[in-house]
Amino acid sequence: MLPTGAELIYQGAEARVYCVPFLGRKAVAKERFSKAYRHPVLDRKLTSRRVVQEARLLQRCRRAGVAAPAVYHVDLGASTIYMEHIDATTVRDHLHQATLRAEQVSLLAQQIGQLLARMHQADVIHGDLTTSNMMLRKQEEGDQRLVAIDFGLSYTSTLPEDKAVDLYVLERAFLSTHPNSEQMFQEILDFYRATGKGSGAQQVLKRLDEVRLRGRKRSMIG
Amino acid sequence: MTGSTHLLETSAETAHLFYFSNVRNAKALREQLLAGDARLAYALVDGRAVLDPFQLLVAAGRAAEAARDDRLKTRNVHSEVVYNLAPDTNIGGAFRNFGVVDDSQALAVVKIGGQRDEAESDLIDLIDGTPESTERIGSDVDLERIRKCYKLTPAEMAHRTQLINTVVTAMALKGVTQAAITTTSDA
Ligand SMILES: Nc1ncnc2c1ncn2[C@@H]1O[C@H](COP(=O)(O)OP(=O)(O)O)[C@@H](O)[C@H]1O
Ligand SMILES: [Mg+2]
Repeated sequence: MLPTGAELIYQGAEARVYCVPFLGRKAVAKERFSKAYRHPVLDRKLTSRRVVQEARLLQRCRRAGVAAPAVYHVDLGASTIYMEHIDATTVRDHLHQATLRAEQVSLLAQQIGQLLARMHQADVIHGDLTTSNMMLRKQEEGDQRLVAIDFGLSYTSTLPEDKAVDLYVLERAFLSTHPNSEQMFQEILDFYRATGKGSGAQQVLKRLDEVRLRGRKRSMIG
Repeated sequence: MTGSTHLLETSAETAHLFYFSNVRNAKALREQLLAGDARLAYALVDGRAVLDPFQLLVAAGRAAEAARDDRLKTRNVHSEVVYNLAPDTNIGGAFRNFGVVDDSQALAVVKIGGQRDEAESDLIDLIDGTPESTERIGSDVDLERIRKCYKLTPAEMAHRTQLINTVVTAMALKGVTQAAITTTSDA
């Protein structure tokens, strides 16, 4: 049962996100809802599985030193995860609003590259990397500024191919949402390479070239 | 003495918190609990295992939901609070690590439902110790014990501003398991 005073902040295709009072804190409740076109039993199974998966991967990221919202409570019956409310703006809004100096852009690229490298080192494939699914915390003492959110499509994999596709998804999102960001994205990849050195980052980036080529071929046919 | 009262939003139940220091009858309390003494309808938590009141409230919230849905894993809603503090499903271990033990000197007490005043005078009767303000909850924590109980990494221990969140995440994921959608074999 959602707390009284829940305030809807986001309505997506698969989930609703609320701001809720939770045991004296401000929290976020992410509730997955059913898909009417799916068989009810199958649907409940799939929904429950995704909720479990999302909660577990949030913890896995945190363990690996990737900043992600803390999980406060998982209500499987209501398909709802209660999590830490990140007081932050999305990277998307940040890039749109602010007139950033070159060194600020580099700093952000560094944080993104490092976060992605650490996440992939932990074999977490985000599955939906966009600048809306990364948030910049209003700096608190000792806290990492960049926080990854939305592990609703995430899974674990050791395959360079899966990691490369993850980066490719972000590249496409980046370039379409933020015009003239080619240089920034290249910087992200440079920091990804530097951080993930010795743990397969090189291999992933090589794979990324192939994924891009496939993507280009596909768009020429289609 | 000042207990505190909190709304458990997901079940619309109420929880009261209390704190005692200089407890001298921990052994007797533990034996009473073991014997199933109905008068001890409280969760008695060793102060060394409590980092923050939020930790107790998360355990209480989950216990109240389980009681409502009739799916308690332990004897009653109060033993369930103690059980919920542990990150794994080992019930005996949960009581050893988080419950009152013979050498407990500080006790955090959780009461679900009922009137705070009543619980308060009852507890003063039951517990031979000094009633404290609930502001003191967390002040007797043994961080080494927290590290061990929740199997925290050095990096997690070092990140103090997130420590309570890390602890609560470990609690929240207890029993949240289901075949993950995983690919592991590399071609
Ligand atoms: N933990 C959080 N703290 C603050 N805002 C959040 C949090 N989680 C989600 N949001 C907000 O809600 C939006 C949607 O959440 P998200 O998890 O991405 O849902 P979806 O899977 O539907 O995309 C985010 O873009 C962000 O603005
Ligand atoms: Mg999203």
